[in-house]
Amino acid sequence: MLKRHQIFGNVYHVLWTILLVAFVAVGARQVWIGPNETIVIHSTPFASTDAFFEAYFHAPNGSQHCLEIMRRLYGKGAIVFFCPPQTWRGDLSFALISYLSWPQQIGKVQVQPADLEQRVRSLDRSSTAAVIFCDLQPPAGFTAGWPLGDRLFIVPFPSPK
Amino acid sequence: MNPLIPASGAVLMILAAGFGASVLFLRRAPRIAVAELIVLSWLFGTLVVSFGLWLLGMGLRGASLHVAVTVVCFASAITGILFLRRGKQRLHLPRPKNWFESFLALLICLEVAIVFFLAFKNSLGWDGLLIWEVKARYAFLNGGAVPAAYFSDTSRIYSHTEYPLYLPMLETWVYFWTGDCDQYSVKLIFPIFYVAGILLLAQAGTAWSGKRWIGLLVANLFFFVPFLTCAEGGVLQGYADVPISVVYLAAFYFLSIFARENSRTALETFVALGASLPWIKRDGIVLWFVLVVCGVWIIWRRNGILPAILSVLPGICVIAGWQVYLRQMDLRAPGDFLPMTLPVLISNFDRLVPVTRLLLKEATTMKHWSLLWYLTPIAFLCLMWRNRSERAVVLLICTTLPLALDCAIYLFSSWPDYLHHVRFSLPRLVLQVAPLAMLSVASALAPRQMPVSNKRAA
Repeated sequence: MLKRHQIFGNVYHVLWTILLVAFVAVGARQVWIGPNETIVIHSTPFASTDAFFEAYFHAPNGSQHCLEIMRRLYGKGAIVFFCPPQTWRGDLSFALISYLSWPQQIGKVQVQPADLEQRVRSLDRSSTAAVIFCDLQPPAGFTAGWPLGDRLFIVPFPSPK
Repeated sequence: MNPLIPASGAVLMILAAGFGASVLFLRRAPRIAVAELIVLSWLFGTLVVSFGLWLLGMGLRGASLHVAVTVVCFASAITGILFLRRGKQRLHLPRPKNWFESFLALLICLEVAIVFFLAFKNSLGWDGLLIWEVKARYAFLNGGAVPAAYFSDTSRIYSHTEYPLYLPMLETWVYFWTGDCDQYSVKLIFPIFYVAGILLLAQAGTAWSGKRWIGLLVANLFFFVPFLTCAEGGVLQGYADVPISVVYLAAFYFLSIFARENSRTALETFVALGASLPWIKRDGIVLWFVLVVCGVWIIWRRNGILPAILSVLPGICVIAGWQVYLRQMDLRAPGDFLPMTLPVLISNFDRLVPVTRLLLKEATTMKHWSLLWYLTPIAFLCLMWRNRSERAVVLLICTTLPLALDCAIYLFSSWPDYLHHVRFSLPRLVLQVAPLAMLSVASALAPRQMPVSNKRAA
């Protein structure tokens, strides 16, 4: 009886050993692959925002650039951010610019490209400091401004000379 | 100067604050395990600093707030040293008994080193940066307190203005020491939670199995859970889910010690850690609720109804305190959830099957969990079959009930596509109970006869 108990105990632990080895093997493979999918950072104060700007908008040193622009706009009114509806680039760039521009008021407008011009022209220019276009072609008359990255464009009101 | 040097100062102050609090909580224990002391020093330290900055920040700003919280940390550390010198407790640092335990301990050191290395190579994730760190940045720029205008800023609702400030206040603390917002050096705090999790799992696994090698083995598994180690939401990305999972494990561990030894030390520590869960993340209310349900039952059976009721109060105070604060701040954030009413429940009841299906799909995603959620049901079956005990049942409840409640809460999701809401957040909810699942594996590996007197150190 005792022998049977011992055999059973040994089988039990052998089975668990197999399961745990499989666990480690699968896990090790995924951990090895995992970090390669994430964004590498440098040791700078804006390590993560810079990494996002560079990875998704091809804008090196994007945080400092964005901060410099926002400093010029601060106190002159709200900023309106235009992007196509439901795009992750629109969400990400709005969040990054909004993150960096505190306490600047910034509102997001999701708009179809066909409706963009009408929406921009209907803005109250006296209370708007700038408009930002993400993945949208700026309408005629709104092409003088500062590019912040790939298809990310800031147009101040009034336009810079 | 390398900003990691002052950031390390911030970490040391957190440990100092937590050391005093830990010794205070463990003052009646005959001996204190060094691993437990380190883990509790970190967890209590983070709580002292985050609560301290939040509460003192209502009246103080800038350097005076920094100095005030530093004084609290020093005072706590000195109190701890005095208690330790006056008391008769012994510090207990177990050494590996054989080559296998030494090998497992070395592996843990290697894994921790890899996690530290990777943490400083990878950016903060979306939530890490745009939900948690953003609050820390705005708080630091405002002298240490999150500006009142932030809570009513509808253009920044993407950052979940209603989320509690445990992690942001810790990050603000690091910024006080580095002198500026620094997205690089702030990453230092996250691998420390990982270390705390590994140490605690080793300790709890040893206590539950009665064998130190099993504790060390299960602690090693921590590294091989891909979602925990390297996925979005894991330890590298600066999310709150790894910290909350570690605190949940710690609270559960001390509840299990109380259940076994009827120790007042364990009871007080459990209550304090459990009450802090809603302060770490909104989802912490679910984890706190589950612990409270189990805790009240266990405390009632051992010490009567009054201590059981009293054990609930700290958590209620934390939840109510935060809600009062949000009302004072004129919060204007649309919720992710509909009002929890019977008509909503009935009308959305058909969501239950798709949500459960997604939970099963997530649990069996090896890219996230390796074989963890395949092994966990096997471990629980083994536990129930070999060692049917109250604490095994409590472990089962504390591992599964939060997931069941989380699934039920999705019935009230206000997202237009509720399945997107589930897919988006469910993996992180699963992560919160993953350390308990690992503890079930440790228990299943234990020899059939549990030792009469368990070798818990404290």
